[in-house]
Amino acid sequence: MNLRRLALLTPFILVTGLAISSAQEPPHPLCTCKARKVGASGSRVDWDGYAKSIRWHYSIDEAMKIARAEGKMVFWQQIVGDLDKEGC
Amino acid sequence: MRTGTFSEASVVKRIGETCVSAWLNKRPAMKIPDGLYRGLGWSFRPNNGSASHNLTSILAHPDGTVLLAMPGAMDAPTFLEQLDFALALRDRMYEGGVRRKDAEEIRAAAHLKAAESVRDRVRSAAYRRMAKQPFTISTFPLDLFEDLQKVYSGN
Repeated sequence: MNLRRLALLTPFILVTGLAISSAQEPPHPLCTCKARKVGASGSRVDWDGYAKSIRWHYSIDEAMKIARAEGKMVFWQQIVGDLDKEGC
Repeated sequence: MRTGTFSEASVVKRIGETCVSAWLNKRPAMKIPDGLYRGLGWSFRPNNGSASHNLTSILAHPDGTVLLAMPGAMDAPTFLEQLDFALALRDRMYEGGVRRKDAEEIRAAAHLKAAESVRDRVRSAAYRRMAKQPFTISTFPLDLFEDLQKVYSGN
């Protein structure tokens, strides 16, 4: 790896390292997600940062209820970070 | 995945047609600074299986039965392949919306067959793990695949 490439990568590695080092594992399996944004019609909102046009629910129970009514599957994405923010 | 796969029109369309979607922050205590990736000018293309300790995609029947769970990032073609797997499995496990008596045998056999046919080591290991034990949305362990990051990285 040449020095220029290393110099470019160093800040990123430092920032990522800081983020990871401050992490604490949540009690398992009681991890829950609280809604940060609530649409005018309830908790179903479009998230306009990425994943455009996918309608995400904050509650898996709510998603399952709607899936039952609509005859669809449930897609549950487990991530690290907040989907309505940058950085995960 | 959100910057790549979930912004692909074909993926968005298929998810909307077939699924109701939800997400879970599995480590809410982990604080990732806003703007971490801003300005880097990355053209993000996820490597299949990367971040297996951070990402899990679960496709489930609305009765809670997990049809498929796959760790790590997936590009659009791979994600759509998994979606098709779950849809086909659902149609084999349920007839007219009613769960077949041999649904669990069908589920386990489908995962084992997929484990043996797929070349990707992370996906193969995940299929094999899913073949061993049925899960529901409420029993699915958040850390089920976290050790597979070692398989991805070859350690």
